Amino acid sequence: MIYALDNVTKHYRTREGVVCALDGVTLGVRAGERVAVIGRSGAGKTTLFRLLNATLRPTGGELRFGGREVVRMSGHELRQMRRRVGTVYQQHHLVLSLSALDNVLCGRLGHWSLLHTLRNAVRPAAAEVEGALAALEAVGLADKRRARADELSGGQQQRLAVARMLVQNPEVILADEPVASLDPRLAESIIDLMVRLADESGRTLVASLHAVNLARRYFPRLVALRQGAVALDVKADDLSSDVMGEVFIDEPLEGREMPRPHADPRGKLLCVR
Amino acid sequence: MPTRAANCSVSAEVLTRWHRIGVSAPRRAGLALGFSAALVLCWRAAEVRPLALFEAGALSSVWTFIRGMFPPDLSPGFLRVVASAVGQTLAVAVAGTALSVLIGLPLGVLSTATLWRRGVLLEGDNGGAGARALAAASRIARAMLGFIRAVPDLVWGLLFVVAVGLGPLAGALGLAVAYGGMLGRVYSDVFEDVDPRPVEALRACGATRAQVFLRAVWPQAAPSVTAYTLYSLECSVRAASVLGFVGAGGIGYEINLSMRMFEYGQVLTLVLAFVALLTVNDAFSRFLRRRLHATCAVQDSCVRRLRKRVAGRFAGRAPGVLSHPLGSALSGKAWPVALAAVVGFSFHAVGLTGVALFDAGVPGRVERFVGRMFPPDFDPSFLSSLVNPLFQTLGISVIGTLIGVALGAALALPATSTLVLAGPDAAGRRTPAERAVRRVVYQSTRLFFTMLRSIPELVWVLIFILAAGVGPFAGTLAIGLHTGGVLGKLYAETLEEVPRGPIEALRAAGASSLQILVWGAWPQARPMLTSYTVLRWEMNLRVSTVLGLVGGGGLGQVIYNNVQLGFHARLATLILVVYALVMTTDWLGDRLRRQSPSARLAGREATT
Repeated sequence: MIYALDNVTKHYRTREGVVCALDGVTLGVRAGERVAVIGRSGAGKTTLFRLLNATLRPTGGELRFGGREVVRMSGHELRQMRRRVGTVYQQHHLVLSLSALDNVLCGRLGHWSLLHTLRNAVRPAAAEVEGALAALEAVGLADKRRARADELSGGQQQRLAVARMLVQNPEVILADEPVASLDPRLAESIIDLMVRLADESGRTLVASLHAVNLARRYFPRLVALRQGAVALDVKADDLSSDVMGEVFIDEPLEGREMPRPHADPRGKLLCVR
Repeated sequence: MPTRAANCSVSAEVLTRWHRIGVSAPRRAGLALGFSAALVLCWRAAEVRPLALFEAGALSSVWTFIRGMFPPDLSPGFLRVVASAVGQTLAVAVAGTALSVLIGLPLGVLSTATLWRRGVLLEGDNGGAGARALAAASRIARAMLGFIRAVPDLVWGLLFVVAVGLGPLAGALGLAVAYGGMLGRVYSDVFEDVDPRPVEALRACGATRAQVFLRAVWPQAAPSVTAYTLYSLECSVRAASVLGFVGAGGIGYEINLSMRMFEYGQVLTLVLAFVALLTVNDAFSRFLRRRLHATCAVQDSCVRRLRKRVAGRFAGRAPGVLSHPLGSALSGKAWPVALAAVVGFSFHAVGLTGVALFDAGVPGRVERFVGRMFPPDFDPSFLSSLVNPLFQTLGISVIGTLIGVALGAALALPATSTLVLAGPDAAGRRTPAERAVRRVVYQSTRLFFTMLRSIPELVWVLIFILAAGVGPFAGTLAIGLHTGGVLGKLYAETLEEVPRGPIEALRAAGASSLQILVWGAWPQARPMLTSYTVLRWEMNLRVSTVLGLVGGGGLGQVIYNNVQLGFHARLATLILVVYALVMTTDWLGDRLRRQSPSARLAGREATT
């Protein structure tokens, strides 16, 4: 097990009160596995991914990465862990004022010492540039390496984000809605790319997707989140598309709308089951 | 050979970093050489002698100063002096602001191009004699506003001190003119920004010019006009405190006096009162704004924009964010009465009542003074004697700004909450002790910035004169420390406000805080940081023209000398020189800020 989540909860404190984003998620991911997380927006997918790459701290429950409990890690250990986990975001989160090449180099930061960081900020080492160029090549952006990130199109920016994740050489690839803002053809090519990259080197891939068909096609295992909890955890083959579509993805039918987790103005926690 | 090819491509990559900036190698070398030569010249002009600070004499006089400050003089007699000085400063600020509205409003209306084109003041473009006269008046009004704003408020204060004598009256009049110019420009921007459609509609149904202005333009502009006037009151409290250094009464005058009498205990009391006054002033105007913007969702950002805009020498377009009718908050019956009482009392306190003015023969004295200023003295030998002070002023502003940049940049990092303090949700373990240490570091850096900022440059000059002696070096250090406080705060806020997404992505890739700073925060914040720095340099140049009035070297020294000697024609020349210098640097600063599109964007942000 590379990830072991036991009854993990996450609450956000907002101005209106406390919002319960994840409510007792229990989940295991084996090394080398390919998992698609599906669910409507607001189901807690992004929160789950931010917990998995340890940029958020769970409110309750136990989250283990490679057997170590994440909450107990020191800053140094966290860095080491994050280095092994590469994340691709929906909004790609590139540093727009840097060139494509520099953005890819950002993926290497976790591997650099203080001295390297300063040196590479002035003039990147040859080996680093080579690696970055190879990653750009892999996502088909080699000719764009000098362009600033904000000069690229949406699809190119997302591929650039994939390249940044690649140079990190992670054991686990996390992709939070990596294709939600792309057109279907482009979306499929990016998913295809990531699946290929994961398969080639036996990396773990956890991706959240809106399009259930895409998920079934590329991922052997599907996990459905609903209102911050795991509603379904099945093999893709065991599931007929209409069941998935009806229960989790499409807009709810009249009168069947599920109450969303919502905030209580008096600050009392409200978790909706 | 593959490795060789790879190496080539690597150096090509490195080269592209420069090519992206679009500068060729020889030109780059030339630029670097030019810059360093200019720096060396500035360094020499500012007479920077770091070692002078550590000479035995300097150290002992600083020690005397520090020892003399404690205990502060809290005797009842002196506290009464402090209280009356604070009251006088407030009176000068209120009277000055009230007068500046009277000056600024007509000039602002006259100089607003939009009002002309849309025919508010002018019936169409029929080109009659009246129209031409009004167009000329508009141009003159704009030129006047430009001139008034280019001359520092301290110089205006000094001019009125010479014209009407020492005391708060000169301060109020100086403020009135300086802030009249500022407000005129701001009002004009506000009028430019009103929605033209109601104006058209009213004209279409036959309203007169005055009706169009009162019914279509003014209702739209009134909220912003009120807000800016309030903000200018806040600024003028600061300015009024400082004006005393040139003899215009109030707390600045007392500080200067105690300093020159070596009464350092009194100095500490006064400086504390000064800082307290500014803090209360800040808090009060924050409170007022909160009242006025009670429902404004983006209150913070509009206040900040307002600040930046006003800090940005009152240039740029008016923000369209102040859409809430301030009038409704001020509609209580007590307000106008209270306002009138405060203004009336202030006028009385500074001697701005008709009887007092004529008893003292003020109009006649002003007339004689202005008469002596013309024609300005353009004697070549006098002009050539100005070259040295001119360079000194330039050097003070450049080196002072650089010191401020170094100080601000170094201390901005511990003052950046997003770097030092983790969010409550952030993963990772931090012991309570570590968290406490980080909080202490953060808060004490912020406090240090506040201290540097709230003590004005002129007070810093007086302190550094003790260590470095009279001259440009004291002025340079003064500007450096004050600027360090201002820029440090701005830098930290800029770093805090960069887009969070990329930062989180880098953190998720395992980057440390330092790496996030170098690769994530810096590239995103750079245009904004540059813009703030250049803007601050422009402001420092204005300040460095007046530092000499208290012994900080540069043109101010010459101004002071000529005032003392009564050479008023030379004084007129000097004011023209200051005007030319400020205009030139404003133009240069605009060009520097407009280097790249992103910098241009940030520049707009910084001034609006």
